[in-house]
Amino acid sequence: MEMNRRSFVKLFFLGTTALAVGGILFRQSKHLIKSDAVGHRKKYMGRIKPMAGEICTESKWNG
Amino acid sequence: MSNSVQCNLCPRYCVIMPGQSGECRVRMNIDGKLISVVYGFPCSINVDPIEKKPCFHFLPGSKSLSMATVGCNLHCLNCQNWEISQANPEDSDAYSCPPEKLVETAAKYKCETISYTYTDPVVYYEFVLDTAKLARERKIRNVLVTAGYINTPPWKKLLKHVDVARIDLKGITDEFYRKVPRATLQPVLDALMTAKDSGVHIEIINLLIPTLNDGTDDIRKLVKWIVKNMGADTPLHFSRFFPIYKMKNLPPTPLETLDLARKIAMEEGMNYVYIGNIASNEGQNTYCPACRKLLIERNGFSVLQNNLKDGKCPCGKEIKGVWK
Ligand code: SF4
Repeated sequence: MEMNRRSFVKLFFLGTTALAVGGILFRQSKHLIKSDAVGHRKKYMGRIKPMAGEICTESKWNG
Repeated sequence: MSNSVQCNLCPRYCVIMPGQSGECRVRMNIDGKLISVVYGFPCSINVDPIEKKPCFHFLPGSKSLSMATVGCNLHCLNCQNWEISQANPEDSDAYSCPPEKLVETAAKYKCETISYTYTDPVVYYEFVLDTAKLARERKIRNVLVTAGYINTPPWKKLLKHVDVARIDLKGITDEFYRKVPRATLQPVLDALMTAKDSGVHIEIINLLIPTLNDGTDDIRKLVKWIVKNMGADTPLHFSRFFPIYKMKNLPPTPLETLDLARKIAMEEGMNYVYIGNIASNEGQNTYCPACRKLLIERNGFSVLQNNLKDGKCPCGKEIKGVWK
């Protein structure tokens, strides 16, 4: 069956769009990380304060 | 998009680019790996009465080692702890206190529970999980104080290791959830029902904010949902709002509104309804639903008298809760 120029262009764009979307989804799904797989950081990004006597008191925070 | 990671922990499903963190600020994409940057680094550790959570039907008068890290997956306009919940880890001080040390501290201060509270334990999930497992080995029980904005699979896994879920039901409409905590309602309702199925002890808190969720229709709708889905014996705390953070334009909740909410809840059949964030009031006491005898008298966070015998009223009625 012969394909005219317009149909070819249409098909070409449909095909490339599908491939691009599929590629992005595949790439994304490869990087989906479940919470179970989360790692921890050994070093804190802020400042470390000493654990002092204030611990045995009631908190100023709500809850 | 390369090396981006998606966090599946809460319904925000953040897709995080390298070097960035999710909406909660404490789960970061470091070299293509999702990292909890606050694991082992609580910003606050204190010994609180369990009544402060508030938990009224769980070991009354006991001490709870209460901790939090910075960060939260909600952004409530009225957050009372916004200095830590909306803080970046790099701008905040923290203790270096891994799970073993935390459990050791709880034992040292003779705390019967560890409460994961102040911000939202959902965002420091792995830290809670590891600490809770170790605490159980030392016969220390675990209390989650949370807004319940978490996906079901990690929630189910966490519930296996905790004893109490003190969950905020901040409102009963999606509109309210979108406007105030910038979240959605259904995941919270799902979390409540999942917690019920798991068998942990549950207490619910609802903060009444003038003009936003304090209409009688809203209150009745919320209470009816609780009665139907959680049971009339679930302790319910109505809490007083005070103008704070980004919601300084509203007045504190009138005391009459809190009393009215309590009355509505009791009309709808709820057995244990409390009023919080106010000075002494009979809405802080526990009464027997059968004979109306005063069972536990409280003032603020103190227990003044406890007349329960083996978890029962002297009339014989069993009172829902964990009493020893
Ligand atoms: S826990 Fe934090 S990073 Fe994960 S989806 Fe929720 S807000 Fe985003």
